[in-house]
Amino acid sequence: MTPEAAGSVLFVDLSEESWSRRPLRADEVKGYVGGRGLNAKFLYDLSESVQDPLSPENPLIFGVGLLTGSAAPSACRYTVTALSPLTGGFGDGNSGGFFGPEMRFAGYAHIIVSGRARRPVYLHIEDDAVAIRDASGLWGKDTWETDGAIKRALGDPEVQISCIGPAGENGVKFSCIINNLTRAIGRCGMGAVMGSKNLKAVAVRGSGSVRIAHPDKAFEILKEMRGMMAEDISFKMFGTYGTPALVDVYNSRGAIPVKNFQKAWIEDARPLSGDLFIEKYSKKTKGCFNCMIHCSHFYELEGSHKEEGLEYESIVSLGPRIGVEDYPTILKGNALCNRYGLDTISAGDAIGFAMEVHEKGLIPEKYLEGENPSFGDGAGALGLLEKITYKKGLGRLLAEGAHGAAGILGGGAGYYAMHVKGQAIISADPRALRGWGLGFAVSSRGADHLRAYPVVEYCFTPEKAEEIWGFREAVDRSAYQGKGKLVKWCEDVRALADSLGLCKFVTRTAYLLPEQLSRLIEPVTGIAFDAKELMRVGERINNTEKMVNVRRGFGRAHDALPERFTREPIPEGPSAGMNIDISQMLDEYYRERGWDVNTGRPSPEKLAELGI
Amino acid sequence: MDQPSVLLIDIEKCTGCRICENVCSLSHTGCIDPGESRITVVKDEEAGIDIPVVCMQCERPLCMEVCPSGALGRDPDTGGVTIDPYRCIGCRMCVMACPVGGITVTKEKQVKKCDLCGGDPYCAKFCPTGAIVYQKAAKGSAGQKRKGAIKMIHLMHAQGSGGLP
Amino acid sequence: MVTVHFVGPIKSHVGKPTAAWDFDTPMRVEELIDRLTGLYGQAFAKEVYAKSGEGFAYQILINGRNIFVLDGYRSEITDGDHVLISITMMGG
Repeated sequence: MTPEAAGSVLFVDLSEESWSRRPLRADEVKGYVGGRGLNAKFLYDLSESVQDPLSPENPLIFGVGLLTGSAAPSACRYTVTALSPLTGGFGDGNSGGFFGPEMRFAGYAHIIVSGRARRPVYLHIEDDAVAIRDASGLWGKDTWETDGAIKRALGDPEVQISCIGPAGENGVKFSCIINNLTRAIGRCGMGAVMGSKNLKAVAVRGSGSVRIAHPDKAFEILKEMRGMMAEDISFKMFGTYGTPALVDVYNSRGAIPVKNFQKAWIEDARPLSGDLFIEKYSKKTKGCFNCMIHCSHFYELEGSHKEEGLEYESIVSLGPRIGVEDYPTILKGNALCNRYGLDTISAGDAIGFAMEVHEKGLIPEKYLEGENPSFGDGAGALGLLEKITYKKGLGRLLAEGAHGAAGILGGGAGYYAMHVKGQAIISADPRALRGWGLGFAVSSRGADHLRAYPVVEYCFTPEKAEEIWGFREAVDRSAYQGKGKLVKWCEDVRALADSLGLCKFVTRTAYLLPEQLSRLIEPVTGIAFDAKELMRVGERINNTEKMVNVRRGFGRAHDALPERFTREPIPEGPSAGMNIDISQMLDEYYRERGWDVNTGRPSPEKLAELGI
Repeated sequence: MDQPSVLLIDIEKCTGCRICENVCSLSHTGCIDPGESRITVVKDEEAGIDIPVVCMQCERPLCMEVCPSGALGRDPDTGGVTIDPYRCIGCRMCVMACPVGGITVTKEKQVKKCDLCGGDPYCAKFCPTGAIVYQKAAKGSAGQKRKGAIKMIHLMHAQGSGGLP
Repeated sequence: MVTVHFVGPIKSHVGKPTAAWDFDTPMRVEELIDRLTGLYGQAFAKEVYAKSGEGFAYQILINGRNIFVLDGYRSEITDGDHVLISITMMGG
């Protein structure tokens, strides 16, 4: 496959209402592969003079992975990248469904949107035809209404749409972008960037084809995947239960956040279990493009709504983190977030934060405006989701995110904002999973498990860990030694996997190693990468993302976990007594990366080595 | 003669993943190209409906009856309905006549349809949930009868009439 | 008493998520698995020892500690211990 065949880069200037296009270059593919990686390179090149992430100059970059839309298993993903209004630094989000493959069928690898339209618009792309269409009639509509309205306006029920809801329009710092009604470019406030450009949606239709270099080998790979789904219990669990099964997995280790991370264990988690979700609410399983795992569901809450879903993160952030323990509230919250275009993790987190600091008397009445956020008040929480979306009452404060809100409140509220770089932490307590904790702290886009995702901390043997990383402690979730090295390795391999556009549930363990990935890339694209080269690409991507942050003034102080996790050991449950101090791991991580141990900055030698 | 096999679609098992479309176009053209797939998953995302639509290889094909050039024929091995591209004049009467939407018109205005992959259909081979299976026709209806009976049992239980155990 | 918690499909062999037994302790993990296999059949052992990719499908923890950090399948279980046999799904 030639780089040209991987797709074009489309530049859209919304201020000028103009656009231009060029093919991908060989050095771009070889250096950054695609998707998240190449998006990062574009952001690095185009954002040097940008001040405010909500200004017209911030480029909003949609990118598909090198394998998105191909025969590779679960090759469905796309990434949206920009400077984040939530963290102030590097930001991106990633989503599955069917939007990414359609971009590929239309012939585009990346769409780079700059400027700001004079009135609400949506981008309509159909193969070579690119149009900027009036969206004033769509502004204010939620994501479901928008999706339906564009399909009707274009007379095409098959057009793929990636859009924002009122939360993005209103610049809520953690607003998201939604495709296929419930799939989210969730994190980093990409919805707010899109809203700041007056861009309501991107609608794509493609009639092109993706040539597969060796179809017979591609069929072998798919057969192997079939075999794994039949034999491998972990894969089967994802395919039957999906991520709701993680409630029991995390709770059994005493690592599930409760009430804004005050606690990490639920004595009886049956009302929140994956089992109950399947039994009571799921109608059938759903899958993304070319996916054999079908981890998603179509569920119904009788008398309320039905839709695709449900993710573990949403269960916990709209559940135990805000003291709620019933599925109906969680499902209603999930539905609202999908339609408003809110990241469920950050929304739940902001509400949980409000509940805790209000308990401690830290929110003055002028911000509360009559609200009484209390743990367990499900109805109140659902009301807050609307208030956040429209920046009304207490929602105006919470729309800044917990960290942003804490900055406005002062008075020690900051201690209760469970964030890294301004982004809310996901629902795994880092005191109980120390390698994960380091991963959250150093992730380029703020608290995030997907950058490192060191799953090896619990599913490999020490012998295998020694073979791959050279030390056995990698498998011990309470150990500090070796985690710096582990996280660096995981981040590099994950960056590479992300740039291919495959779902992480495939690359989690099955296509984890670079050797395995190169055996996947060649038959599909015809491009040969060796394992070392691939690791280099991963390293290059991480360093490029880091340099965006360095330029924005981020240093070692930003690679930190909230003080609560050091000061307060987990009070009860299987991980009782554990806390976390990342300093030793961080030193080791910086050394392993070739970054200055005091500032966290990549050394000039490292940058030169990687060609940045 | 061997009992004929047919593709059986169970829409309750369809996840909407479109692997059937992908392996169909891949095996026929070497590309992932939904426009070349002989099977298409039609969706209503709001209602959670995913339906693979494909030629049902009718016993009395309406497409064959309306074709003015005799391009539609029958494969003696699979029993499937085939299009002879040399006879096809591209009038697309077959597309209009087909009651199930089983015929694809490609972007090059070629008329294509499921040929059962010569007796080893790829869609059935790769469908991850068994929503598409290639099975003896009679066996298929037996499966549907069993499903119907189970639904009846649930209904009877729900109405408290003491139904079947 | 040895309390064992089951997370994942392995739970279906036992019929409930948690069970406790008055086994003779100290006992090794492999002995516990043998005893439970005796109660629930060979399918139990097959599942507990199943592989997943480059690792195992199930992780075994004694009082929260991964047995691979202790003595592997020879790790000792003493009276009052909580053993977790959990699917190694992870994510977010």
